[in-house]
Amino acid sequence: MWDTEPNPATRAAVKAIVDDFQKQHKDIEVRAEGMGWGDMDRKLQAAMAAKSPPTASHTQTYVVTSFRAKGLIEPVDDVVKAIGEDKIFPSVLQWIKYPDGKYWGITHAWGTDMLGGRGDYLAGTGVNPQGWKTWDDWLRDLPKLNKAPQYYALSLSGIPFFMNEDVYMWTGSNGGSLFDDKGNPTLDSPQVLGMLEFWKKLKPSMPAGWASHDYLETLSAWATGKTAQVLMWGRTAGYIDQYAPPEKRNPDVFQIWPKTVGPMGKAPLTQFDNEPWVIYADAPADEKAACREFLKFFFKPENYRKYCNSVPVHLNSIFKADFQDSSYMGFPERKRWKPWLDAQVKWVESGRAHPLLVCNPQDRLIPWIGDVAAAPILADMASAVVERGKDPRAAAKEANEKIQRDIIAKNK
Amino acid sequence: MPERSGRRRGRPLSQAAAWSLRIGLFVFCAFPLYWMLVSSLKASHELLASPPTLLPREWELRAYWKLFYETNFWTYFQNTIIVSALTTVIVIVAGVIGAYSLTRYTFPGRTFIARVTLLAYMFPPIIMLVPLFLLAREFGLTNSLLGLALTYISFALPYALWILRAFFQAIPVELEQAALIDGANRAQALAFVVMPLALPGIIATAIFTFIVSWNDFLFALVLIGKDELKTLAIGINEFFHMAVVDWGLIMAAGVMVTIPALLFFVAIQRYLIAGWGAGGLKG
Amino acid sequence: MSVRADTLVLAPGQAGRRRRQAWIGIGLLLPAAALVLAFTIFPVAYNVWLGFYAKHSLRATSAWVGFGNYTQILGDPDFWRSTYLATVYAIASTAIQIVAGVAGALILHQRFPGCDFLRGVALFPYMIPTVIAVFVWRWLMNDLYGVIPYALSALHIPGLPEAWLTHGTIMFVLIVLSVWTFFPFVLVNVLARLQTIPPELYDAARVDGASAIRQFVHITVPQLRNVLLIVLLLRGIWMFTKFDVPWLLGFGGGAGEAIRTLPVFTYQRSFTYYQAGMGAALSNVMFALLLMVVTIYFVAFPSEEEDNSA
Repeated sequence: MWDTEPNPATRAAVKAIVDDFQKQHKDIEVRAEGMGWGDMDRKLQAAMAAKSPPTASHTQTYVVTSFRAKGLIEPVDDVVKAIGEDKIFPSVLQWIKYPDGKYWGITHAWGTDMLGGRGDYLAGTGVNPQGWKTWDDWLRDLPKLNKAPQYYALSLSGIPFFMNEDVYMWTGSNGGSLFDDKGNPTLDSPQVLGMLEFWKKLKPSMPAGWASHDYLETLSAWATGKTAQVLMWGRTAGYIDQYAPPEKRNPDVFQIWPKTVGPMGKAPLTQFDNEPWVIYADAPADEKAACREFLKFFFKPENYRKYCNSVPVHLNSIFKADFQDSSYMGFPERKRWKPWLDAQVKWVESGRAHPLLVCNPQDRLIPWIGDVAAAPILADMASAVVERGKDPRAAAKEANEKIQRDIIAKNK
Repeated sequence: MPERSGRRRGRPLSQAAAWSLRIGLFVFCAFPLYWMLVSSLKASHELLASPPTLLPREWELRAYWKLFYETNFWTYFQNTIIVSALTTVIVIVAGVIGAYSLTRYTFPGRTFIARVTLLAYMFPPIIMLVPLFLLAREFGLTNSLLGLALTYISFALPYALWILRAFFQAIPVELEQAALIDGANRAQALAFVVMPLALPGIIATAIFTFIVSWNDFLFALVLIGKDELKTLAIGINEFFHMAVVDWGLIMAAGVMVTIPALLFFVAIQRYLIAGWGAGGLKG
Repeated sequence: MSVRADTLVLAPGQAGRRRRQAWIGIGLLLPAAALVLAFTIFPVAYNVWLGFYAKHSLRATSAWVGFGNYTQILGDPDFWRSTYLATVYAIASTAIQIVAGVAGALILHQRFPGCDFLRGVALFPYMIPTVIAVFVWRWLMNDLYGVIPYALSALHIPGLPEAWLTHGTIMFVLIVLSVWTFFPFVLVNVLARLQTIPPELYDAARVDGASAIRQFVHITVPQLRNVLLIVLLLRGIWMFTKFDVPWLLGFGGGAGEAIRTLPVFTYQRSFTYYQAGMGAALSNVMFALLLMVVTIYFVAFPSEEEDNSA
């Protein structure tokens, strides 16, 4: 079983769960490996080419669509039912249930992207983030939060994968989508062009080298105070504990500020990370059966809690009840960063947290959405406009053509 | 230019020039090492201080502690030593014998074979990943340090053959002829006449081969799955993928990976000097 | 005027012994050659075969497209741009590595206090794992925390870029970083060769009154020629096919779009677009380009077969 949480704390938690499982099932051996996403991709490709995939692995929501279409994975309804379908957040389940009514994966944990802001940089600026509703509100206040070169107002990541995230989150917040109902790209739509213009206006408030910053650099920048705001996920709490001065490691300094809507949008959109476990059809039958047993065991409260506690504010439990449970919420890290958890739960309950590239919910059924998510086409479009001054309409048209020629044509 | 002893009288200007070049080389190569070392000893919140500090305000060994006690670093270290030593020894042996054969024996197609070995270098290794994995699986070489070593050997051998060939070509045939006339056989001629004179080239080959296997990441990633067999490169790569990346830890790992190898190579520097004059033939 | 280095004639007219020599020669070479070919032939053949298909990297099915991949590649302006970037990168970094490596070897060829230590330090850039080397340089050149931009601005040098890792200057940083990382390879090989040059050659030249420069041009360079040519060829090939350095510096996009060399472009097609067939076709094109260059090299420098010692 391949997962994407290689850090020591999670490995220890998984090992404990595996050991307990193997004690109860002496005839089953579970080999659980953790690795980074890029490495998982490469290993998976080599394994699939050799027709020997792992029994199960983590994957992205959009990949489930294409794997399912090609018969590479199997549904996991039995696991979901055993865990308790009604115990899980509906908005977690909605993304792994497909039109045939079956569940094609089971989310290991979830999180949402948030806009983080330094409360200690508000003093004297007159800025009230809680009052932000639209992009214009935000753009108006950004210069007040920008004290370059001491610190910048916003730090974005310049890696293709993360730039793709910003493209779709802001397009969705501007009331648009990246695809039409047939799955063709609609990058020259007014909403997407509006998003590109908006991004251009952000540039003066960002560090000059943002286009080379990887995601973790932006988190460190926020923790060390080189930036007032950042788009981030729950594990940033760990960065703060590691890199911020001791007296600042709390949510009064590191606040969650609201995301805003574009002129053509009604509600902001954020990214929902709910990577599911999938079971590969090509694995031997007995291994698949054993895997299902293991997954049912894994999600038992006493075991699952260990897993979630290994990266507390980042790996959020899929069970609604846990967020009312004092033993879950009372865990020190969760208690300390409660505002962050509240913000994430609010997103999940509002239904405006969508998986990567999915602006309209039915977009997740587009067979090539995974290929577009991994490719740098959208990121190239954004950096051409923002960094090299290309005309947005021309850049969008070029990106449309590339998606058609290099991705869709290959998928037919 | 032959090695000059330090006692040679040099004009002050050229001495100053020589020393500024030496110091320049030192700073150019060593500054990032210095930065790594210093960063590994800084407290985490000072690592990303702006403006950056050249010396830690607070010194701590936390990163090294974590490296040795909270990660499998030591196991990875041992695995990598085994694979690298195995690879280097085999490449030297096969390379010396092969290069000797290429220079001292005539047989049809030897130029062709030499050139064809360059083929593998003309694809980016990343593309060779999937077919090499398939090949390794066929021969049961996955999850074994020997399989990994074989991959590295096949990568380093062409270079070894080419470089050693150039060194052997520079050694006049008359020296071996003299030895053979004196009653030695081919193997002895190779071992006692040719190899000592080509020793610097052999050391250069050893350095390259060792570093190739010490640092390789891609093939170790795909061929090794079991945690207890992983190499340093994989271990270090994992440090970049943790939930919270600890830059101090990574710097400590970088220091621990480089310094031992560095000390070893400083120690064998003296053997880079050839034993010229062993043959006794006039040029 | 001496005997060809490749022939040890033991006694005249011994044709049978000659033939046996040939077999011994092949036999000695066989293990090495077999291993290399086994690990080379199959992957090369696999790639050539795969280049004729459109295959999704994660799905089992593939469709025959014949030369379709190749026609698409040749018509894709992004491919040509990547080839251009790879060529610039390869030529610039190889040339500077050679110069720096030879210069370093000449500096280290002398004995002076601390020369052993300096030789070890000079090897250091080559020895650290690439991922750490690139990471350290990213850190050193970072616009927020980097020591080098900070030091440069403190020296009030005019015309410095605001950030080094942007699309305008990131190629420059890539080249400097690559030279730093790989010039020790040149240095070690050249230094080793310098130390096998017989001192008598220099003694004779000095007796004849030759200056240091004349000694360098007429003794050192011819002696170094073979090793230098091999190093040039290998470094050129390796810099052209280098994937991990431009990838780790630029991540294939954002500012990294300016260093999307052909290997990075190929990787993205194969592993991020999930088009394994296209990736194989691209690497075959890369291979073909290098084959042309290598052929020219062998035509221009055939003399590595000749004996070259005095």
